[in-house]
Amino acid sequence: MDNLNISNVSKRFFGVQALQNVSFDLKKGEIMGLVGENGAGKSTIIKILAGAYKKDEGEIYLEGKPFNPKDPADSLAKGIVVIHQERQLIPDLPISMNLFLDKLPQKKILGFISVLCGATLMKNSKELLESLGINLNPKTPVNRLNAAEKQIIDIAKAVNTQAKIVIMDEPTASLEPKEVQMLFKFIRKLKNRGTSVIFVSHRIEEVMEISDRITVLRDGRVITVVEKEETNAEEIIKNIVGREIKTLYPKESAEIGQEAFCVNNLRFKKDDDSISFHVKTGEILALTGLLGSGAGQTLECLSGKKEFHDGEVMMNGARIVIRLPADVIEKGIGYVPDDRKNEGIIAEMSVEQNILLPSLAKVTKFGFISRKKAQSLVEPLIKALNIKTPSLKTPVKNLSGGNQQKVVIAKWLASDATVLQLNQPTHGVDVGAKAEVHKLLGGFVKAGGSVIFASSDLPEVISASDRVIVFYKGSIAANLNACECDQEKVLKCSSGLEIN
Amino acid sequence: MTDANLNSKTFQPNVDVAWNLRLINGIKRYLQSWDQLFLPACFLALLLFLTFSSPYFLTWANLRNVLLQTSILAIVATGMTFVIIGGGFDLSAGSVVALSGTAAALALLSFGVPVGILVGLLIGAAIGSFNGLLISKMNLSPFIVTLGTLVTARGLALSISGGHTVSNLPREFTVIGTGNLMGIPYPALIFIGVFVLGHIILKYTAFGVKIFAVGGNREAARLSGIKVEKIIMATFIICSLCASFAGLVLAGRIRAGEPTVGVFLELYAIAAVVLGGTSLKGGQGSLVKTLLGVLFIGVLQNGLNLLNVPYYWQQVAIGVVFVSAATIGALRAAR
Repeated sequence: MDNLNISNVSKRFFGVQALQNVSFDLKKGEIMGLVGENGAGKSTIIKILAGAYKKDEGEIYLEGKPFNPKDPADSLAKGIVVIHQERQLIPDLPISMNLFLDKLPQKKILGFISVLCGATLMKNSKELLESLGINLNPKTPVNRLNAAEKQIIDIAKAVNTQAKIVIMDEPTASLEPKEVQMLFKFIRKLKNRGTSVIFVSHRIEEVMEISDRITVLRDGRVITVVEKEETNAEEIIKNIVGREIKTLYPKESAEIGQEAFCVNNLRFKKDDDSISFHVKTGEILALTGLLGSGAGQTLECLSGKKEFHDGEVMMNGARIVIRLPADVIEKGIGYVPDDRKNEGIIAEMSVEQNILLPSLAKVTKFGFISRKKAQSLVEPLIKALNIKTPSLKTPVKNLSGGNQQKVVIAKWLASDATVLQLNQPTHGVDVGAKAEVHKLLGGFVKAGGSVIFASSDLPEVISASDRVIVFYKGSIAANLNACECDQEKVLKCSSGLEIN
Repeated sequence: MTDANLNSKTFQPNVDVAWNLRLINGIKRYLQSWDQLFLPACFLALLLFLTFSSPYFLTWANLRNVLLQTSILAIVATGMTFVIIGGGFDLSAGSVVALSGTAAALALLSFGVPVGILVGLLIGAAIGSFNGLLISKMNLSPFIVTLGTLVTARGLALSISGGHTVSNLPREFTVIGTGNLMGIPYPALIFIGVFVLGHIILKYTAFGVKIFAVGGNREAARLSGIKVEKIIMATFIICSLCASFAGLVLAGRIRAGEPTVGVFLELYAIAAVVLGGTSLKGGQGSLVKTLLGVLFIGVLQNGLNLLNVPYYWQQVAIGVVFVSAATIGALRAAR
């Protein structure tokens, strides 16, 4: 029997058709991969299932009964659990309390004082963890767990409420490969219990690995629903973008010129190893390494976001002093942070104002912004970057993730930066937009700029750069030419197995 | 790219779009956001109600009075809007009104009118800088810092005057609070001037955009090269300057430096800003909204007077209106 049946669901927002006649079903104990570009309608359908949005048309049946949740609480009560990227755990409390936070077992002493019954809590927690095959001590505080374990506890907590369907939105975004496998093992256990799972992700390989069937959304429509055995990654990608992508990251060759930006003996803290590297005009340099290895932190220091102990930074042969981001920007160095929502965009402000922020001086006369100058600076960029927005005045929060990222990059193109630093530039961005971002960077260096980006996405690191610097535990483990390195080599260097 | 354009429901912005089409779209968007029309509608209803329930309401003398009465609040609320959009708030404004009025009165009795005015404004600038410095550089909470200056400034005002009213101010000074131009009182003209100036700064200058950016997302603003600390500092200085300016106008109007004026004025100013629809979270709002909030409170107070509601009950009424408005706002946001 179908656990969930979605038939002809449509949804419009202010004239934008977010979903159009979306239909698919989900069997009991099935893992369904849900993929599509940003803005394809994945979040909309999830939010409808979660009770956050109401559908305009169509029917949804849960175990054969019409399903029309009043609000998220109603949806949860009916057995649909959405696991968000942001964890809803209380870090200082032990696993056991987190698991049963909403119904902590109590006992009465002296007949009228209710107190927490520790023994029952431990017993219940152990039972739940065991039944899900989680090998963790319920007394461990949540903040001692790694990212995957936290995620698993978060899901266990939700499953505890008798979930029929678990929806996971980008659950592996911040996980290391080993942790991903841990999570997958757990998802398969859920499946064996008869829980259905909707697995939403941009990482096609992972979707291919874990799903039984895959639904592809594009422009608010279901393009295809296929059994995993009957398809392959290339076909899925083709369906997602609706056109064939010949190379994932088309890297144009640019003329490599003089040294543009140079870092000598950078140390994060006093006792750290020193880091030195340089980038030339026309060159794209990739920094990579496992989470916390220092690749991202290096950019955070060089952009003025975080303080560092010492080190010399040269731009076109002249030493620059970095105290504030403004110091670096003044020299023509732009920085795209990894946390788009909290550090990249100003959600309430318009697309135009977001792009203008670093270039206000350029469009200002006696303190007043010239509308004409502002428009002539921003409009060509929006066209060139293919940013999909109803207007220049639309608040950035109304754009999809990929388009928001393009807005953050557009800021620096508008500001005439010559060196661009990007921290995880395609994090949470779909395949099509990823390729577009790299095409953009290619164009940027072709025009004489230099790019340094930090990324943990290996295919991206190798195919979109000229040179790769691999970090291991806070220092440089290898400095490789992109053409002579492959994923295996980079992986070995980043896990300390090989040092160049 | 053309493919993408055809497929998607969005369109690329185009300068050539006919202006009338844009106008229609603009009006549509305005109507869609019922939020923007709610307070104006309530305000209109209040005006209509008062027009019919009091024959005196819609007379020039009364409207003039409303303008005069609200001018001090309006000037303070203008400064407050800057701070709130920048992501903070300022509890010290009411005390600054009293301190700068009193200090200016004392100074001008000894050293003449220009010195007096200068002293009043310098006090505002100094307190604003102090607030701004601690809040932006030391990262202290605006609540703590401005609560401190609220108490300190009030204490200073009472101390320097010995707790007494400083009267016998010269006519050249009191004229800013008592004079009029073609029947419009100077305080009203001043508040319109301050308001228009503030609106232009917020809306059309790079500085204004930076205030919105800092209030909207401090870290993103910093990473875009905005000197966040300077902007926050500037908003607090503007707020205190507005308050001290209001203090001068008020001293002129009551012809005395009075250390006990302006109690709760900052709270009314915050209420006016929020009532207008500017969010306390920062990063959004406008002075037009604030003006509406100020006028709403002003007309409401005036109406309660005309309807002979006792003063103490007026406070109750204003409180109830404010909380109701906030509740309705929250309900609409939750929709």
